[in-house]
Amino acid sequence: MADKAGDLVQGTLEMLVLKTLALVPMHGYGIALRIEQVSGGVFRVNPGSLLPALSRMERAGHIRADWQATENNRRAKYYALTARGRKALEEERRQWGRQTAAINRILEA
Amino acid sequence: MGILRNVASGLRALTHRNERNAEIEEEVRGFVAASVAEKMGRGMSRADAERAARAEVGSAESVRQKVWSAGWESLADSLAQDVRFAVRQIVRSPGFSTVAILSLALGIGANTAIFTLINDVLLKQLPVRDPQQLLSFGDGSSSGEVENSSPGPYDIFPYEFFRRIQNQNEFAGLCAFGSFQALVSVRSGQGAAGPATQAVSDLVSGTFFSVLGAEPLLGRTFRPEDTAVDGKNPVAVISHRYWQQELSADPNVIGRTLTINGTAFTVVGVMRPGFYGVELNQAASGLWLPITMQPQVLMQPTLLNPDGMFWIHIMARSKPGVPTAAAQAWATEQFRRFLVDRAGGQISANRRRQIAGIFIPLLPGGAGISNVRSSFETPLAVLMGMVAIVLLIACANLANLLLAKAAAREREFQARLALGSSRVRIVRQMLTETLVLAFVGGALGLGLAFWVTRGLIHLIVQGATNTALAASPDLRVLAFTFGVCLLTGILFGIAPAWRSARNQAIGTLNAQSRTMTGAGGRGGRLLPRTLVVAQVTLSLVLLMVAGLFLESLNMLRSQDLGFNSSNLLIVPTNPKFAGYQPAQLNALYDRILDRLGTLPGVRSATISGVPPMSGGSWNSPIYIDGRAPDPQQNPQTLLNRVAPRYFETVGIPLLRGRTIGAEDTASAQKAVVVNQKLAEQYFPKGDAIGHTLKIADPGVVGTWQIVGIVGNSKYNTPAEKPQAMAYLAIEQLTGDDQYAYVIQLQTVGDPSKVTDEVRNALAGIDPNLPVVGVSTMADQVDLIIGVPMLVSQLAGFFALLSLALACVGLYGVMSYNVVRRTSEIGIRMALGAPRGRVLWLVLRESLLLLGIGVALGVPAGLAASHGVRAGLFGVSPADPITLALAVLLLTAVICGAAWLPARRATRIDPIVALRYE
Repeated sequence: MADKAGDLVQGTLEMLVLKTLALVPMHGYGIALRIEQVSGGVFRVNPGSLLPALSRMERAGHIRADWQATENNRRAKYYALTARGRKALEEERRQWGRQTAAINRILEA
Repeated sequence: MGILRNVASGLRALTHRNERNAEIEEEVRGFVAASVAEKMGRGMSRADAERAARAEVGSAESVRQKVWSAGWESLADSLAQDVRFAVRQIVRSPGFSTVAILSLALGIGANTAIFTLINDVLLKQLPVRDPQQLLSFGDGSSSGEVENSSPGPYDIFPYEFFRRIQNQNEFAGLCAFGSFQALVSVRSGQGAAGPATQAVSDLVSGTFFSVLGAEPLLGRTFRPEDTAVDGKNPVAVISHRYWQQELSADPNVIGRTLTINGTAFTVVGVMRPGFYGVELNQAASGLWLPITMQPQVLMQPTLLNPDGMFWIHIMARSKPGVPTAAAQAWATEQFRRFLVDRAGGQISANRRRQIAGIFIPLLPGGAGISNVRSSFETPLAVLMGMVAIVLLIACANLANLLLAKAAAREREFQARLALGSSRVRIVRQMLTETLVLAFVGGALGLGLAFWVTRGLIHLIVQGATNTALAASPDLRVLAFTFGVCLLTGILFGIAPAWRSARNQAIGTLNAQSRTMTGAGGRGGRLLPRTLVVAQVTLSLVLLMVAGLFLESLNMLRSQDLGFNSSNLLIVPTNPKFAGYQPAQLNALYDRILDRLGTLPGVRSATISGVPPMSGGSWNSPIYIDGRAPDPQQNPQTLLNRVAPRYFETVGIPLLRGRTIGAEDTASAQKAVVVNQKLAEQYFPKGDAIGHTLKIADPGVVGTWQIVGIVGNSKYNTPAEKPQAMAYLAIEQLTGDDQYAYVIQLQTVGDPSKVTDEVRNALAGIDPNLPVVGVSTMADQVDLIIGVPMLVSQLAGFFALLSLALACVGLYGVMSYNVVRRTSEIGIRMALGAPRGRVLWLVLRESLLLLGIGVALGVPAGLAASHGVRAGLFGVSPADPITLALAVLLLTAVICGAAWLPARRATRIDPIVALRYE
């Protein structure tokens, strides 16, 4: 069983990926590493969930992929945010804000 | 947009499966490499970094699988896999598959064929704009020219009523059309020269096409101006078929002149293919003519005057915002007011009450009006029920076969479950197999149905070459067949699939155990037995219903028609089309009868208004001895007009007095012969001869003296009760009633052999006399009982088919049981059980199933028979003989099917049986 702390909150992976890609296009490992680093090691994303999610998001038109050379001269699939993805990110963010605010209110009541 | 991209990229992944997989693999490898590189950058050794990265990623293959199944295409792919596997399974057992596909093709084909007819006759909407907006004034079932006054719903009106309400505001549009099609003679060009052809025409109002929203292919349709002035607009719109077939698709047809019943009409438009007006009849109309040209087209006095007969139908296009109930109230009010005005000043209180009870129901008119609909509604519903049952029985059979097959595949399923396959996956696999079978069978059935439907339509339209009925399936039929296939596949697949997935029998992967409970157990045997009982029950229902229909057909056939239908030739002609005036007719009749009566092979010749049993409808009230009719008795009679030797020729026996003879000339005392029914009904003292009749029909003038009484004969159908009937001497009639339309010849031998000589003889008298559709009376009678015959024979065929299927079902289940119990039976026999006991052991089970099936089938069959009693003639729905015969036939045949496996059980050799397995 995976480390409980490393599991993402359900349904947030796509939002985190969108946010991560909002700054600069990245390849799969780059995204995983970035999420891990920024979250201070709390969230670990394994490729078994990340790559299918990327494939789904590409299908949905939220991100765009193309093969580019990496720093160490290999080929890797780089993902970039599309206009539609940017809109989806805004939407998810708003939703998330509402939900966490609500949860906080309940917890602090 | 998003969906499109999704589909496109899914399709790309499916078609370039290897590239897609390679791409995913490369990405996974890249992921690992990047991870390793990053870890080494943090100071790990290469070996450590690789190990850590592998632990992080896990199985590259499983990641690849996950990415692949993220899209919809993976589901499609696994379905395709299921289908491929199913096809392999089907090909592997060709015997089973052939039986399954053929029985499904038969079952689904029969269902599709009957449904195509139902669709054609009952469901299809008219090929016009927004047919659901059309409202019919009444159900349009009445036709002809009638004078009517009884309270109740009305569907036939005088033209004057339409004229009064046509400029109203309650509807978006109103149109009127004649309630009957008119057969007209058509000559190309002006004048009466050249050969005449016959065509079916409709009289319609100028608003007809615009209310229907039907656009022409060429030229124009009618406008309101075309029926503004009576008799002034000789214009015609023709059907696409008429243009193609009769006018050789003449590109300059617009403006061409057609002489229709002697009047020159100008063609102004050609309709598009597929348009057939609003009437779905045996023969579709070829010509539409302005209703105001009625006197010219029908060659009879005007029906357009204010006190004219009831003879038109009215159809409306509803107006948005006006509820149908309000429009109906308005129409009814208008009609009542019209009738009151028409009655004039001296209207009786009684008549007022009658008019207050008259109403016009506004009914959906989108499906048009049909004279075939009412006569085929019940037979088609019955046949649909029967074919549905046949399909159910076939399904039960296939379910049983599949259950047996599934039992044989138990090890395969167990192995698959053990290897981690889910139960859902196995059920899906099994259902895919049955669905593939069902759809292959359905595709074959669709082809089969097309041919069968073509034949059935041919029988329904009784040889009319141009009909709106079509055998080719439309979208609704295709959807129906698709639905039936789907339902069938699920129906016969669900039980075996459920069983094979549910089966948890622990030891199945081990050697088979010796008892029959080892595989399936008691519960496992219940399902096939239930299916067999259902089959027996349903077969009995079909046998009973079919038996009743065959019995009614027998009754119909054995009816005494009251005339001699053998050696009788019917020759329709039409002196009116040939241009004869009433005053010239008697001389013509004398010439025709003199000439034909002396032809070799002809025993006797006559001419009359209609032949016996032709579906005519000339009737009228009568005044006996000049007395005003007693309103209680309201004496009425059917009428025919006959020349000398009529009764001798058609073989209606003379009971008393004399028949119409040569002495009944135009100047002699008018003579009428009545049938026994009329004599008994209106002259109960038995003194009819010598009394006189006056006929209320204004066309028949004078006082007619009864000179003879003849036997009753059927007028319309063999099923009818005797009706009062009077035969007027044709040479003593005047005007339009003097035209006779049918020559009848009693021949020495086969009547069809003299056809050519009759044609030549008539051409010798006058080449303009049209002779169309010569037939023998025997053929006519067959045609009239054609529908009941068709239904009975189809019902019989379906019942036998279902019986055969039920037999196969029982035989299959029992044989399979015997095979399963081989070792048990072997042990019993080794321990000394006599053969008779073994026989009984197996037979007992079949007889039990049969008994239950019969016990359920008898009440079910009685209920079904009660439901179809409208289609029966002369036989009670609970006819005990038919019931007993059905049960007997079923029992005998099922016992035969049960006997074979039982006998096989007694032949089991104990030694072989114990070594078995």
